[in-house]
Amino acid sequence: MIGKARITASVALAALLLAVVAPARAGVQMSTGIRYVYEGGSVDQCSQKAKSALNAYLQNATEKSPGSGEWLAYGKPNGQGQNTSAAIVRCALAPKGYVVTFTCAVQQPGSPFEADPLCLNIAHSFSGKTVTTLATPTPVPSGCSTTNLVGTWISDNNPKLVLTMDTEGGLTDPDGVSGNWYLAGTTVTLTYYGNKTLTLSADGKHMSGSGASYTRKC
Amino acid sequence: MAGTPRYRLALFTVAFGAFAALCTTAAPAAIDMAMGDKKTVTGQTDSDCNARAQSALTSLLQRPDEINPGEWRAYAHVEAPATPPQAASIHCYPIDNGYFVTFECAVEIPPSQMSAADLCTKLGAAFDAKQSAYGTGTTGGKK
Repeated sequence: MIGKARITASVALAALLLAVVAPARAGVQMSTGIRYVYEGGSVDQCSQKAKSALNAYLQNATEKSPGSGEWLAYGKPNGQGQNTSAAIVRCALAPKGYVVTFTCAVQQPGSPFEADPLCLNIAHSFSGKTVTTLATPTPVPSGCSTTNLVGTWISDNNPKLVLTMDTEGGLTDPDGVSGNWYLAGTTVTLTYYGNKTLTLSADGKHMSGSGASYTRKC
Repeated sequence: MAGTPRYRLALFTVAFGAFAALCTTAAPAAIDMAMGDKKTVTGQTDSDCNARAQSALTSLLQRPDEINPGEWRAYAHVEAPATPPQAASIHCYPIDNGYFVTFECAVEIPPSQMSAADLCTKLGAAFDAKQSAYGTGTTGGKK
């Protein structure tokens, strides 16, 4: 009887672990639909503008094959060395000139800007219209801000338990177990081995509640 | 001691917990984007291209949206609140005696196990596989 109870408890614990530490996955956002048709001009001329427009917002535009007029570029890698944005500009001969299409893709969440404004700005850069500045990655907040929990938190009960909280609401412990944080006013919700409700101190340096207590490195 | 049921159960619990934690730790995801080969089809109309584009996207992702005339986009089908790990677009453009069509694909790796290039290759094959309702046209890749 006791054995069955232990097995049930073990399975429940494992299921709980799976449920609470599963992080949200990023997805793809794609923009397409901008197409310019030029009467006159060559694919080579289109290529020059395509490469320039892509490099204005992304980097290292490369042509699929020399003279193809088909260009692909990726954005600057994020802090983890991963690409979160990319775009394709394709030039093709048309009956009286050339046609050019713009397709963009970004990772959301992850990219600091969305696919539509990226494509619109690349297209405007291509055509010489007014362009805007896209958002740049938000610098990681420093200090003990009271508007977020970003930073490193050390458990007051166990100095080896250090939680690293990121700008996207994620947290990770030294064992690689991940979870989430959410802050509303001074009420903190930690999803980490279950949901815990804590209160953030006025100086943003301490939080405690639900039997847990943490101090932030500032 | 090592062989007792209690010890084995404890070992199983610890191992399973560690496995669960390992499996659910997020790997860094990245965008992968690719363009498929451009195809030129002669003796056919825009309608043929649009029908093939819809069919190809539906077969690999889900029913597409027509963003503008001849410009199609579809995402992989996922249940909310999940976000789609794959997307593709197809552009149809008329020329004097037919049309040309291009394919663009983007995937998020992980979780997508298919690269953007593979998705575009499959999309091109699905486009070719859809028989025209207006007869046989000449389909060929043109890089």
